Amino acid sequence: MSARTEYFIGFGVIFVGVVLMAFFFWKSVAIDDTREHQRFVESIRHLQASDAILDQHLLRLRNGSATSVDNVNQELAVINRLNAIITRPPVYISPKGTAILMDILANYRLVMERKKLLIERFMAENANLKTSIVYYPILSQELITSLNEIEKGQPITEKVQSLLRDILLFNLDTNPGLAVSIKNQIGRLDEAGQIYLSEISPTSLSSINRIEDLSLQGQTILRVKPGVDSLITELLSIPIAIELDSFADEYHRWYSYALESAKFYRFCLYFMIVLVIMIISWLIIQHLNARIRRATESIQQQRDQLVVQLDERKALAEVAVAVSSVGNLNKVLDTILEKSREVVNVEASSVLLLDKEKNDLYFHTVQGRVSENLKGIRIALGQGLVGHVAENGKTEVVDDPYSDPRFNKQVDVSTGFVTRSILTTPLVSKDEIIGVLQLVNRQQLDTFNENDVLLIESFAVQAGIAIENSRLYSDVKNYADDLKVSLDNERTLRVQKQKMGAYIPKGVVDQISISSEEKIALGGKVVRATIMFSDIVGFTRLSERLEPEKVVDFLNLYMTEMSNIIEQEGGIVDKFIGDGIMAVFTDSEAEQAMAAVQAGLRMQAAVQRDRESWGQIDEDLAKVEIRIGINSGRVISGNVGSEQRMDYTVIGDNVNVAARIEQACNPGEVLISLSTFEDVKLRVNATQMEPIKVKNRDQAVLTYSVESVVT
Amino acid sequence: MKLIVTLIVVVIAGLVVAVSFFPSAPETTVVEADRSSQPVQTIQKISGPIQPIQAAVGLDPDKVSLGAQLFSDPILSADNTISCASCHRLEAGGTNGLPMSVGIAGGITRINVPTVFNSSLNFIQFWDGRAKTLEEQATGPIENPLEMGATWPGVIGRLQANRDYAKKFADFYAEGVTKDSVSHALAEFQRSLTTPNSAFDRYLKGESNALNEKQLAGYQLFQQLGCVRCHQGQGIGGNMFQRMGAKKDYFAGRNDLTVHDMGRFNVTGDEYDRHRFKVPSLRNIALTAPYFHDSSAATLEDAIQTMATYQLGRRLAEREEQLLVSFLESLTGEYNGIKLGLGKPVGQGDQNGEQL
Repeated sequence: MSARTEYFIGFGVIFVGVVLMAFFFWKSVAIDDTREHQRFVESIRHLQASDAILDQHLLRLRNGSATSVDNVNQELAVINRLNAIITRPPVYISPKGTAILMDILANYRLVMERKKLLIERFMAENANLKTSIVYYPILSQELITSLNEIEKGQPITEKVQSLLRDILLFNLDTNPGLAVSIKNQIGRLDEAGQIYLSEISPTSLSSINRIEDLSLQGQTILRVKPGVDSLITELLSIPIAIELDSFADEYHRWYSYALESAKFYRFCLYFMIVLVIMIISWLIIQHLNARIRRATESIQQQRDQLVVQLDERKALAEVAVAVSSVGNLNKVLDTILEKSREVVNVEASSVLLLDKEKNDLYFHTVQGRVSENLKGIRIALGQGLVGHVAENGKTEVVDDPYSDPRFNKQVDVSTGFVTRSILTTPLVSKDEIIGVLQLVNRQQLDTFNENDVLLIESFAVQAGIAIENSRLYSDVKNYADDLKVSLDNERTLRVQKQKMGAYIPKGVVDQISISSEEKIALGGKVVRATIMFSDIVGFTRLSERLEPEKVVDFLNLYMTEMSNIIEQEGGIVDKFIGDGIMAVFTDSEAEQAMAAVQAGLRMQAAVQRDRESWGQIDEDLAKVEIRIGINSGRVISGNVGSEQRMDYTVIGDNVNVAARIEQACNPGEVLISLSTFEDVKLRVNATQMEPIKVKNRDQAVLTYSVESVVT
Repeated sequence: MKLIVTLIVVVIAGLVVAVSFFPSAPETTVVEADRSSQPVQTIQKISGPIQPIQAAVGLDPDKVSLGAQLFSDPILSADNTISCASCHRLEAGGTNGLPMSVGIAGGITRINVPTVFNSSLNFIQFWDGRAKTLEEQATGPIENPLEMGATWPGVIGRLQANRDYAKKFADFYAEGVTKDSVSHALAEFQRSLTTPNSAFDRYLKGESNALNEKQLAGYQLFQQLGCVRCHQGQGIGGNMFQRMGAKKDYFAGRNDLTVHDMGRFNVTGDEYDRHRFKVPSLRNIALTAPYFHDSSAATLEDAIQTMATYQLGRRLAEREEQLLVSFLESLTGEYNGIKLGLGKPVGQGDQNGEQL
């Protein structure tokens, strides 16, 4: 039988017991049913009253004021019925009390039976007596009347009268002497009277008979009267009332007892209810307590776990910080070992790295008691636990190293160290095993648990990263050194290029820069280019009038502005020809014409804008106007000149055409050739001008004056 | 959560239990009539030694009719030949007019058959008062081997076999057919056999011309002579014992005494009770000849003479005797509203009852 079953049986027994007790108490308190009590008490009182009424009826019968005995019989019937009621005392009377009450009731019954018997006899005797008592005076009177008719009847008459007087007295009195006297008188009257009468008057038969009758009645009275008297005396002395009183007293005693016990039981009931409620409350509190305790324990456990996890995280974070800070590999590994020891709590820990060249492992970092002794020990790959793990790449936990054949006892023997448990995990970098991390002798526990393994594996990963980082660091440092040299060279180049730019077209310098490695070669190639010529109208005459410094100042301003525009539009200022500018646009064939036209328009706009400021130099300069001519077509591009002095320029017929168009251009306009127009006609508003004749060309060149760019 | 549900369940269960213990409202049950005692008669309003018969009240009409059916059904006798009504002929004053009763197989009981009418007014049943109640009385003749000669198991078996009786008993009595229920039904019927409304009762109730002069004179004489000392109350007798031969020894010199002559002695064994009998009721006395326990008086006149001699110690004149007879004839009452004895010619006093 299980403890649980026992518990349930015990609980069931207690429950049933409590319920039964409650039921018992409840029933015992049921005396509160006062109806029953009232009925019973009333019955007893009624019985007492009935007894008194019965006696009353009997006395009335006795003194002759009543004749009917129905009342007596009815009262007896009532008494019978009441008897039946008091035979069953209320349930709250205890069995002992009931027995006592029944004893008293038995006595009462006995007495009552006796009374009934006496009543029965009394009624018969009384009726008998009454008939005689009533009849006797009548008979006496009749006798006297009949005697009066007879002579000498006087003496007998006197005797009859005397006897009548005595009989009537006797009926009221109880003097025994009187009875004797009457008896004698009757005797004498009967004998003497009959003889006397028969002597004096033989015919007075009726009188004689009457004497006889008188004697009979008188004797009856004499005989019956004492009986009736004694019967009524006994009837009235029968202790019915006493019996009933003692019955009532006894009942009240037991009723009080029942009340007292009911009070006690009520108290018990209340007490039990309070007790049950307290027990239930206690059980509930216990239950709640247990729940709270369990909850607290679980929270405590979780908290502990969280603290441990937090420690582990912290350790991992520190390791991660250590790993991420590029520094000494030894320091990083030291941190990893230290933290792993903190978290897992071991006696000793070490990192062994794989020497690929010698194909064995050496102790790189060791922490713990015997760290110094291990330095320098090398372990071949596949040999011992360490070697095994380094070969297989799987974490191994050994609880009892001495029974593991892979364990190398030699190290323990040489160091005096006792190994109890070992955790060995590989260090992996880029899918390659680079060493192992080993923890020895788990403290507090017999061996390493799953959590330890997981933790240490993550440490191993960090360690792998650290080692990898360390390698990468050294690589990066090498690259950085190289880069520094390159940057220095670059800076030198840039300075040179800047200086060159003043004399050499920027595009060329750039080209030189880009292909700095290549040698600058003479020679050229045929390219499609757009050539632009510009010229200040009447500058030759103007320059003659102006002071040379002003001319140079103006030209510097002018040329700088123009060449900036040209370069911004992607053109190259090929050369300055006095006040004129020759620019070449060699970029993509599709856009070069448009770029040139735009540069021309902007140059015209710049002159319009800036010439007032030029007026400050000299007022004539405020009226400066320029001509611009543009032509597109095939030209020869290349370095032209000797090895020492080369000119990067374009040459060819189309260059001449461009120069010719410029000469034909009206001041302030931009005149372009048909070939240029073909490329830009969709994007500019232009007016066709008169064709111009060009040297060495049969056909006249169609020209167009560009007014604005289509927006 | 589970604890709360448990608590609620416990509380509800507790409430249910508590409610079941809540005191029930007082029942309005009718107190069942005490079958062992006679129905309580109403208070006597008329003073004097004799009271008029009060109609029986509180009877169950179903049980009365069942009792009536049993009363006239020979099923109660062993051989199915004799019924109560065989001797207690209701049309003949509730008796058989014979000096003895004739039972099954010709069994003869040599004691006068008392009338069943007004038997409920008797304070005790049988001549010797051996039955305290009508229920007890009813079982007497049934079990008497000389009368109906039946046994209760036999009677019950026969009644249960009878579908009509079985149904009626099942309907009217919780216990079905038992000795108690059969005797109760018979007793209930007997309680209904009262004969009110006699000329004398009407006189008592104030109808001064209900009695003729002779009858009135007879009643005066009845009181004067002392007859009323024993024959009094509602039943005009039937409520006390009296010695047969109160003044003179009735049995003197007789050597043919039977057990029936011993009277109450047979019940109590007390020498005092030898020859003591229940004073019989004088109601309907004109119809219940012969008279006395030994049926020694064939006529009222004989009976009056015997009574005067032995009970009163008197000699009655012829005229007195006639007056008493006239009075006694005025005591014939009605049953179910019909004057008793009309089915059978009775004495000359009959016309007195027909004055109304």
